[in-house]
Amino acid sequence: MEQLIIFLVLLTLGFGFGRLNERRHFASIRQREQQYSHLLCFSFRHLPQGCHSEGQLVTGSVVVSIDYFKRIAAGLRGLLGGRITAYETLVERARREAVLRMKAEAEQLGASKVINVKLETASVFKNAQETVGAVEVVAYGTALR
Amino acid sequence: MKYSNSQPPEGINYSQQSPLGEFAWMLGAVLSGLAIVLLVLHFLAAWALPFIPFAQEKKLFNYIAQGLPGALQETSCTNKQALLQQLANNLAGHMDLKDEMAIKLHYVNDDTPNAMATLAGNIYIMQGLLDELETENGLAMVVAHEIAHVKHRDPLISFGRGLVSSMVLSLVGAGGAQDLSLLAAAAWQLKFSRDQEAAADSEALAAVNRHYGHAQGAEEFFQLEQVQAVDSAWGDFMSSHPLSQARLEGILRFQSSNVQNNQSKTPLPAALKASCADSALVK
Repeated sequence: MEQLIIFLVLLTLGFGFGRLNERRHFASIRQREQQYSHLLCFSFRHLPQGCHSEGQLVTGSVVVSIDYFKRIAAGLRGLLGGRITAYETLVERARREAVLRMKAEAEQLGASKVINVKLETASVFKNAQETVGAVEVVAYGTALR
Repeated sequence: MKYSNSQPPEGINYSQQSPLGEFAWMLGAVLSGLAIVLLVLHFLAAWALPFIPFAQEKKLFNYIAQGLPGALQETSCTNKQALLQQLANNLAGHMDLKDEMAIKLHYVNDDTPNAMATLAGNIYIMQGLLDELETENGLAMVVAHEIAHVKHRDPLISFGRGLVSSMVLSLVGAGGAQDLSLLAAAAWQLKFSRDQEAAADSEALAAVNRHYGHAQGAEEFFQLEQVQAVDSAWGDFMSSHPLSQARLEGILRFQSSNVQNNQSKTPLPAALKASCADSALVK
């Protein structure tokens, strides 16, 4: 019974704070995406025609933790199969945040665009049992003036 | 060729719906699946576990018993234990036990009015029970009831059910790991179903009837207030009337249909009432 109460408290805390953080983070991401909309990102590797600017490596990285609610929801998905929607929002936030941080660095360098943008992800608590998982996303590219 | 970046679209890579509905659905599916699995194992245990040889049950108990508190492993009073063992042997003689089923009585100096059977024919009688009872007939009914549980392999079935359930629960992350002290605690807190209790009652009544030539006094323990100790908590929970009432009525029915000429009750030996130091002197 005690364990059940602790579980429910953790679940409620995880859900409440998790939702609050997620909502705030998404609002902040959308606002900054507007702010940096003049800075263009491209996936191609070569300099655009007519561009003779020097290139600079820019990176942005972020680590986002799952909350207790997401962990339990993902655990249930692990039994039933299907989309882990609890993780999808997490990875989406991490991806967009990493690109924004990369853009922030590019702006400091006075760049107007970033080419050859790549994204990489890593699980911070890989294979560790009984720990709360977290995802790292790194975005990097070549900034051009 | 003109390039542009648009705002990332919302709601394609992730769901914007509240996760609560999905969570409730998943939880319901997993819990009902779990309930079905546990139910199947519950019935499977009653069918399969009695096939385990009694000798194996003894080995299992010898291992588990190391986790029991010291007071339960050694008796504090050999006189009382010998008297109880004698009574159990007499009763067991009327109960068609298999040859390898040895009944071992343990006296426990504890105020709780209780008696219980666990694995490998080990039966524990508390001093609290001896204090409450006035006749040997009442004690014999309780002892025979516990022997009947052993005969029906109820402790093994109940223990197996608990073990299998906790294993299934630990598979989905809801149960703890099993160590010796937890196993011992489980063996000490066996719960029997209503059917198991009813079967043990009728078996015990028949044995008491054969031993004394009548079944008078068998109801004594059930007439006492402290019946909850031997009742299954689950049974009490499931039925609107206390389980002990139904069991008491069963005993009274048996008595009225087995009326004998000589129905005198045997008083409880004074040595069982006395303190342990005096019990050797009292005859």
